[in-house]
Amino acid sequence: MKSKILIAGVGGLGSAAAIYLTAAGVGKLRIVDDGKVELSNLNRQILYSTSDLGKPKALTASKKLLELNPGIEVEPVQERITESNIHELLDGVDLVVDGQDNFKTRFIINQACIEESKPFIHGAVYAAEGRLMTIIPHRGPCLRCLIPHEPKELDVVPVLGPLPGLIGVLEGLEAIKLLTGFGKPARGKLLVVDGETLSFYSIDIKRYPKCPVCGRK
Amino acid sequence: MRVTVKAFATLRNAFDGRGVMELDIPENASIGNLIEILERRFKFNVKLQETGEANPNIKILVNGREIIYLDGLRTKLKNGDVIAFIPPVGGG
Repeated sequence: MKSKILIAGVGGLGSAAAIYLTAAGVGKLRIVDDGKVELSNLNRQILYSTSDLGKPKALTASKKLLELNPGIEVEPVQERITESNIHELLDGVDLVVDGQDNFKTRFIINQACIEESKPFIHGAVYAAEGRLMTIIPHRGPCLRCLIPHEPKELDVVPVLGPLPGLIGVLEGLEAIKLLTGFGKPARGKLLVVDGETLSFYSIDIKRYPKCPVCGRK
Repeated sequence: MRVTVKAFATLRNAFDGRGVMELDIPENASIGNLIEILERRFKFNVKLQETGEANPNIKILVNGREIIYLDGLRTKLKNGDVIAFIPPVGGG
């Protein structure tokens, strides 16, 4: 495929999404992460193993993905996503997959994606729960329509290993759907996964007229 | 009347980590009344500290439907209703 995807973070979410997108043969992946592999990552960040401890994530992930499918291009970027570099990171990409672990960076990505009209597949987890929503700029709600008020960031987020895997794989599915036109993306729909009871909820989300990012002026 | 309250993510802490609670509340209570009861009994906080208004980040559903499509905080509850409070999460 000739598509290019920005995987914004290769932690729990991004690892799972990246593996399936690589296996699917998506043409080019830009892998962005400034972190290093830590022991506490290994319960859920399935691109890494014990022998990778201390190694830079973007570079290590890229190497593993190319071993899986040497037919694609992988561009590692060992950087933190900020307002200063996001537009450069979006250059040439068709869509963004959320692999972040905080709201602030997600909001930076969301803002830039709306400005550049690039789809952003949002995913997030907490304990045994997951969330997913596909943001298609100007054709449905953005992340700030969903979360209008800046939430408090938690110092530590408990996560049960399979949850970011599940949501990350669904992000990969959404990406493939957007790139191929197959199926119906979760635009304007917030998927809520309750891993404790294995319950799935789909909540309709509307564009927020006073959205600070995409609100109609 | 008896209703079931489901609290997601960080809101579970108010129920000692339990995600579900059955509660007896007065007949004809609204969502707003329920929130007041939850605040008093469980320190259940779904309001913005600065303004005291309902936090727009938290999706409140009655029987699977968000209250913004019903009557907002004035939505009247019935016996057997299931009310879910779903805050955003940010882990990855």
